[in-house]
Amino acid sequence: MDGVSADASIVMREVTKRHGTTVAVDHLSLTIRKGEFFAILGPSGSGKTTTLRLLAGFEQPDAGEISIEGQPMQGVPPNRRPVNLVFQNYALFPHMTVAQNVAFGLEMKGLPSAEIGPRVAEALEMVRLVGKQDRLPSQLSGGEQQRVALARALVNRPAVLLLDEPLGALDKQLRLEMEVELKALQERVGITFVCVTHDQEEALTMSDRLAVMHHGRLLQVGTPEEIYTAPASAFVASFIGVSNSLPGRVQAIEGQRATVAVEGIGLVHAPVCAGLRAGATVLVTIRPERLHLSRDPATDGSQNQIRVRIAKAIYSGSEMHYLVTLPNNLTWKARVPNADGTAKRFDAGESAYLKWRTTDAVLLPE
Amino acid sequence: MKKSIPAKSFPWLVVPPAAALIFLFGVPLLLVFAVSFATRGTYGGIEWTFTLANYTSIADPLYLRIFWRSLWLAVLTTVICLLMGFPLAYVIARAPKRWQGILLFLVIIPFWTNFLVRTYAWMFILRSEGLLSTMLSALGLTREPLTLLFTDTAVLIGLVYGYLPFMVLPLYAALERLDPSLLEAAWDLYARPHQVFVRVVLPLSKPGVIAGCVLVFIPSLGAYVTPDLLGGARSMMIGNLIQHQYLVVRDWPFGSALSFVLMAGVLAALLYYLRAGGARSL
Repeated sequence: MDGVSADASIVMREVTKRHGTTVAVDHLSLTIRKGEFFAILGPSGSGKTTTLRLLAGFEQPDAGEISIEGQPMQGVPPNRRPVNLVFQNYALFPHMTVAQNVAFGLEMKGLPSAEIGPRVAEALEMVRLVGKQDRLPSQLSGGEQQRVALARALVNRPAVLLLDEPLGALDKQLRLEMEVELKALQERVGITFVCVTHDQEEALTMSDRLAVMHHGRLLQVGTPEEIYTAPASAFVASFIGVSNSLPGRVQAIEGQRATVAVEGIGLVHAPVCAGLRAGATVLVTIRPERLHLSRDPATDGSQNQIRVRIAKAIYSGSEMHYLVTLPNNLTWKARVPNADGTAKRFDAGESAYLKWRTTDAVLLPE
Repeated sequence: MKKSIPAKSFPWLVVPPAAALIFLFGVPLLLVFAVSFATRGTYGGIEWTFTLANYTSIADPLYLRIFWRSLWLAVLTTVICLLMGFPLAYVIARAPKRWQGILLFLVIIPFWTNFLVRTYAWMFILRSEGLLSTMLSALGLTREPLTLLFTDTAVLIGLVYGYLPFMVLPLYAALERLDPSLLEAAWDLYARPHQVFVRVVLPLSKPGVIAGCVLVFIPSLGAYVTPDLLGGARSMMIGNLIQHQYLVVRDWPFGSALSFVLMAGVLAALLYYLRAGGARSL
């Protein structure tokens, strides 16, 4: 099996796809396991939609190989692939009822109609659309249309379900509900889900593993926690959640701790990253929720601290969002939970000590 | 912000077109209707004696054959235009945006020249020593000169040529609105290309198909210039028969009756189309 584990659902090897002169997907190698919820995350133009279309079979790679469930997909058209796609705009057939839409794939497969009826009913029940089977798509709400699209794909029991920005057209409240529902659905049916999204929160919430793409390349693959807490590059760090950063130069490395000199601030400490050498230019990054604000300087050497001025204090219910100005005039964001109602908040214009544990920072090579 | 002007504040704007319709269309129509029940005078005038003879004499096999041929040619023209126009409209609708305008422009370009002149051009192409016959024999495809001109085939060619754009334009409008992701969705759901066409493309372009068929069928049925020039005396259509009654035989009452039977036929066909495709399609 040349190194590919038996539980692989999708294997992409060195896949390249060009559109005219632009390289949409650039030497992409990726293995997606059976039964996992895999998200491909990236900004628009990162090649994530092209990757999905290559898997669906609407486009053929210029180079490289794709295999799904152990079958090479070279030259296999979409209608003969064991995958189904949930389109971004749902692409429901407007001249067919909900039930006819859902039955379409089974009819095309040539299933006897005695089997189609129960399968359609089962699929509609799964997405809670019982009683709407005779409506036209135009008579449904956005959320209902999305569930029809899901049912229309899942009724075929594909090996892999592909989802193109599945929640993009829904309003925020509905999106949060569907994130949970989609994940629950995937766990129930046990099918491999591959979901393309530009929304990092969506990707983090729903996926078992995710890949971050940029300019057609795969930057990092890992669990949501790995990607969030240990981003491999400055792009990943800034694309996944908000990140604060300081540019500096590595002055010394002692064991697992690096000392970085930052112009206008002084020395800060951070855990070393792979391949780090003294003298290298690096970015020290730290998540806003890992920062603490205090009126008193730290006495404990395990913490980094910088004296800052509060530029803005924003009350957002569960937490306070602070914009703080560093001595080198960079602006950072800090989030402090409002868990302790008695703690005194900071006001704009106040001075404070910004602190963080050395282990909470991430060093990224520039 | 400017307020939009409600249409009902200018009721008098409706007066000129309404008056034009009543005096230039409604009144002559009533007049023709009245004449169709009158009697032909001895020297071609109209005698106002009521008779149904004009309508009953249409049942003459000679005239019925002309009606039948007209209907047959119009149906054939519509079917051929649909079969030729659909792929053409599809290709235009799927072409890159900047090409669509140019291609549509090319479809409309023949309208820049007078229809009569273009029909004369077809006479030159179709006659026995004409362009088509010469080319085919030069290629060794035919031994004897082709005699196409003054046949039903020549009329059919002329009608298809003349009315194809009327089929392409509404079909284009319908196909251009067709969301390409619907075709991909069908493809993804195991449909083979011909199934994608039958189950998705065709039903969703039905309004365009119906509009195109109506726009081709009606003028084909009443065509006059094309059968007159390309068909000659043996391939008469209703339009030629009516003209013949008015101007040659000078039997205005019979010509009027023929006109009304033609109108009734068109109306019946139109109602059938509308029922088949739903009223919203026109």
